[in-house]
Amino acid sequence: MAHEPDDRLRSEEDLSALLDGELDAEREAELRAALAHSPALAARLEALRAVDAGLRALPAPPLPADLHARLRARAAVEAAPSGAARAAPARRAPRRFRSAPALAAAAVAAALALVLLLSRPVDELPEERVAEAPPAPAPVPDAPVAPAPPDAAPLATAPPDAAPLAPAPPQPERLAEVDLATASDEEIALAMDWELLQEIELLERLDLLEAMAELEARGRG
Amino acid sequence: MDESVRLMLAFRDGDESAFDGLFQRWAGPLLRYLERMVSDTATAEELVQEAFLRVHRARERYSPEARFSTWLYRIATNLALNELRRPQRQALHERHEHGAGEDGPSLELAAEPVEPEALADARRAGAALAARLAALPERQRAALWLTAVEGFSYAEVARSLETTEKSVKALVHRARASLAAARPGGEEA
Repeated sequence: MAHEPDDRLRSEEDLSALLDGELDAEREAELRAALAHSPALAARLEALRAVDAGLRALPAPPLPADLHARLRARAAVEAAPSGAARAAPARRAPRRFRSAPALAAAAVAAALALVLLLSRPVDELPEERVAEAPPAPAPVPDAPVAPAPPDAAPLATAPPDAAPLAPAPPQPERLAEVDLATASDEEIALAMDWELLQEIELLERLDLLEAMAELEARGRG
Repeated sequence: MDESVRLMLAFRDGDESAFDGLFQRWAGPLLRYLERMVSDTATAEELVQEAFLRVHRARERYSPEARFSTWLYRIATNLALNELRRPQRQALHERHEHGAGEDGPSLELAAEPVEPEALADARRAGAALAARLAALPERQRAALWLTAVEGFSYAEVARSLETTEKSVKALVHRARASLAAARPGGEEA
């Protein structure tokens, strides 16, 4: 009897599932009946079964005698009072702005930087910037401890020679010289040190966005 | 109750010797699995340590929702897949695959000392199977090993690989069929 390719694939996969005890009773009975009448199918099943036997017979590497001791030593280091810091994935604490005017200035500058960034076509962005967001690592959702792979790409900072996101102010004023009460948003932004902005990591930018939202809320309230 | 679950619960509740019991029971099989996954014994040993360290760290959050081995192998599988995705590992793997050609790895064996023919045949067959296994896509390799050697259900493997049982069924069969086709007398797929 001719079988459609899907039927053939299903039968093939079901042979494996039979070996693995994964078929429901009805399908298992159907397949066993087919096996009884088809030497070719039975030979196929045996070939698959032989693979399992071969895998189980593969030699196992010897367990190093000191592996347990090494593990215990590492666990002891982690359990030591300072171990938590060593064991935890390294993550720099975000810098905090100390004063409200600095916070306000940074928030406005970040907003302007974002607007400028978003208003530019992607192909105008410096290559390093486009590549700045690393691809999301493979999720490990239900691992008991979600590990950051030791070689995970760190949050990139702008390379020192990266082109700025916006035209650099010709003669930026120092922030301390700007009267934050009267200066326009643009003046405050120009007074920001763009190099400082480039050093700010992603998480810190998020902090700035939170600060902006807080200021906006205060303004409304 | 699963003996390993009992040990893990004892460890969670402060019995450090129970952790040693878990290591004694599972380190060997785990090393064997990881060595087949990453094709390097030293790396596999490191991953065994890392897997048990994660068990150690997570003890206070442990709840016996599944067999202990399912949980341990899920951790180990994640570690192995992460290891295989490291760029330097991928470069090695690509070289290995290129050397293997389209149909799989080269089955050439190093010159061996003279030994009884049957034993030599068995060694050659084992080495050939191991080489074919190493050349399988990593998820097929993991799915087949966990099912055929460790005896995990498709549902358990699906949790380890973060996929569906239907996908596991297909992965296991593709892996098994590839290896069967490469065995002496097997038909090339």
